[in-house]
Amino acid sequence: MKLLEFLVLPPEISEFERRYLQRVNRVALAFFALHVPVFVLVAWANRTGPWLALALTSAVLAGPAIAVHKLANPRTVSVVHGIAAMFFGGLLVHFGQGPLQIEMHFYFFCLLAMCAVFGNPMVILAGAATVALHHLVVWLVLPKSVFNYSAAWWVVAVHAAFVVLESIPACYIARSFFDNVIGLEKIVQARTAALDARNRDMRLLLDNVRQGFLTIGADGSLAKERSAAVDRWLGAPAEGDSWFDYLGRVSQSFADGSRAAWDQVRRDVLPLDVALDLMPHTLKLAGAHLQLDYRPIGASEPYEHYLVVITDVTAELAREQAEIERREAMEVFERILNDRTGTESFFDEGSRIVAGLTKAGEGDLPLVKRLVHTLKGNATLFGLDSVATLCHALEDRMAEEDRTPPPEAYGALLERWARLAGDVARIVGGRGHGIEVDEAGYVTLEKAVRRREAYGALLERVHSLRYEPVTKRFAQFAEQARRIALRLDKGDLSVIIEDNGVRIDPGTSASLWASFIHAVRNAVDHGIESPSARVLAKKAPRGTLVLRANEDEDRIVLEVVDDGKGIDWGAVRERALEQGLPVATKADLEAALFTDGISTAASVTDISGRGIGMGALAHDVRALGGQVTVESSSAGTTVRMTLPREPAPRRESVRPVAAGRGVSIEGAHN
Amino acid sequence: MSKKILVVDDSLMVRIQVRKALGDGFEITDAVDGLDALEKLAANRDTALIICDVNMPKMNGIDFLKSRAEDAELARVPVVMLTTEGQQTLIEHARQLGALAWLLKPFKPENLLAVARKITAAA
Repeated sequence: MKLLEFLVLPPEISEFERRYLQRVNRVALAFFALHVPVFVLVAWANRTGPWLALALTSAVLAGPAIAVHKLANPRTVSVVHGIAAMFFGGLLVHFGQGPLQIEMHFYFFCLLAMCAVFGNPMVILAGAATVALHHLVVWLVLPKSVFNYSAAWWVVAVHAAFVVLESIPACYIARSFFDNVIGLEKIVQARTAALDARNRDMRLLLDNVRQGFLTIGADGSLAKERSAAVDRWLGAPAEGDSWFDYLGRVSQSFADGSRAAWDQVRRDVLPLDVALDLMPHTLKLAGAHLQLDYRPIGASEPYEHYLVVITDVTAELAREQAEIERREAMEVFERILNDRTGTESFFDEGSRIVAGLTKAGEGDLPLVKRLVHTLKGNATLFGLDSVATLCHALEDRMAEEDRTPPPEAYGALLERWARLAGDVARIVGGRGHGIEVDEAGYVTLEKAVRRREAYGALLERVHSLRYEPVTKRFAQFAEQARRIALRLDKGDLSVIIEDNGVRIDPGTSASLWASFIHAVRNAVDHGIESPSARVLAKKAPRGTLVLRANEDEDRIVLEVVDDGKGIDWGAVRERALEQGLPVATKADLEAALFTDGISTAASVTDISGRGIGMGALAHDVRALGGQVTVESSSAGTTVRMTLPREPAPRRESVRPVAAGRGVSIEGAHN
Repeated sequence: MSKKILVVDDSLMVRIQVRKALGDGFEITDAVDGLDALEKLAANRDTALIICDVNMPKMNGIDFLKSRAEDAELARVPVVMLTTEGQQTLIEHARQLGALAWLLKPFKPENLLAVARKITAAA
């Protein structure tokens, strides 16, 4: 079976084989045609009948000639040639009768070997069979036509053995010629098919990952190959589109930005990875957020091609957003459970700020800065990081551009706030603002009534129910302060609350609490040192923050006391000079500290550092008719807010307070 | 000898951040606006790189580029803009006025250092 497969070629004929065989068949025919005059000459020389030689040679030549012109299958033509070659051999031996008749047999063996050129073992076999038949028949019928002596049967057998032994390698050569040379096209086809299959697998893989890939030339030209995801997200590019034209079809501004940044990549001014990093990465489409990354292809610079990896991050962003919102909703819910009044006033205050932002419009930059900063502070206090982050971005923008952002810049913040406020309104319901009285407060009041306390004292007690105990707020600030300290690697902060039972009107003091957090944040961020720095300064490694409230007949005094490194007056001075503020006296410097835009922080963090906080605090306290003072040394800083017992409308008069070494800054700021 | 870099930004915080990013390998001078930058450059003719903000009081980054272009010697000092502004027309304008590159805030410190090293090395 194997032998048959070896001898018989597979039926299909490739175009390459067809062209090759047609050419060789024609050459062979021309070669046979030359036999005619040669054989006539041989017959004439040996006196064996040139005319007969002409007739017989021409008759044999007719076979290959007809085959070449009439047969469609070039392999069949080759077989005819193989048979014809042996017929010619027979004629040569016949007409070569004489002293060289045996040598004429060389022809058979030469031609049989030469038939391997057809790349087809069947041609060899047909030739071998023909010569075998010829010898057998002629030896029996016309012996002198083959041998010039009386050959025995075994002489014929020797001739046959030569033919058989030659045929074996000739068949092998023909077949291997077919397999490795004539079949080249098939080999290539097979390899191509294998490659195609691999490419298909690769494409399948590329088309099914959640990323899109395409390559661009250094000049921004678009390579033809790209994965299906690219077309799905960006549509198909038009003929002749560059990468930037292509991008322009979905977002002109993104395309322009990319083109300009690509120019930087190509000009080789910047380090390549920096330039690639500066390419716009986030493409927002109607239904998807795509992230684009660029990677050079090749071993070394300059790179001719770049791979663009496009990742659909929509789901990821949505998941992150949902996670943030879920966490914040929990936070708000927890706050409402613990402190409904406080939460309500926080959201009232926030909503006022947000409304103020939209009303402030363009122009009043200090006001907008203060509003945004206060909202950020409140949001951080309440664990609403999404709001704080949006505020921080707005602050960055204002700091850089030095003008109020356009209305659309508030969009994300307004939207987020509206959703949060909506959540709170739903949870709290339309129950309105109530007064919270805890069990202990109720019992104390009831006892006072039973004791028949004086009317004035009772009235005072009832009044005070409207007020909010500062301890509740302080507890929130303490928690916030500890959180900030951990975030800033300032260790485990110890916070001491000394509220002395002080209560404050929650309505009028809402804005005070909003800016009170600035004092707390400043104390932790700028005051308290890291544990190692504290040890070096010979202080206890653990920082301490005291939140203290005191009251007397007509005043409430709130203090934020830290045992940190104190205020860097040199830095305050430098900043004040830059702003053109007076710096002659210590009082000037303290006044400067409470001015918008003064910050000694080396970096703007989301904790503090904008120079807005202390200014906002001073502003809010003064609006309540109070004042802020500061005392600071290397042992710590005390920020003291003194408020009138009943918050009054803003007073213009200067009312100095006897507050230790503190200096009133009210006059200085006006 | 370490190369001189002039950092022009009205924000102290940005100047400090840039200083931190560039580290000790350069001699850094600060300027708070374009006018200040021109004065500082007059005193430091051998400055190897200017890192310049766009939005600044008195003289902004674009006007600074214009003034710089008028002085043939200053025009040879490479300028890299470092800003939050991403406006195409502005970038193109700065490019025409001779700004070498346009970097965006907030920046990665290692990137800024790599840029400064590459540009000052090429000079």
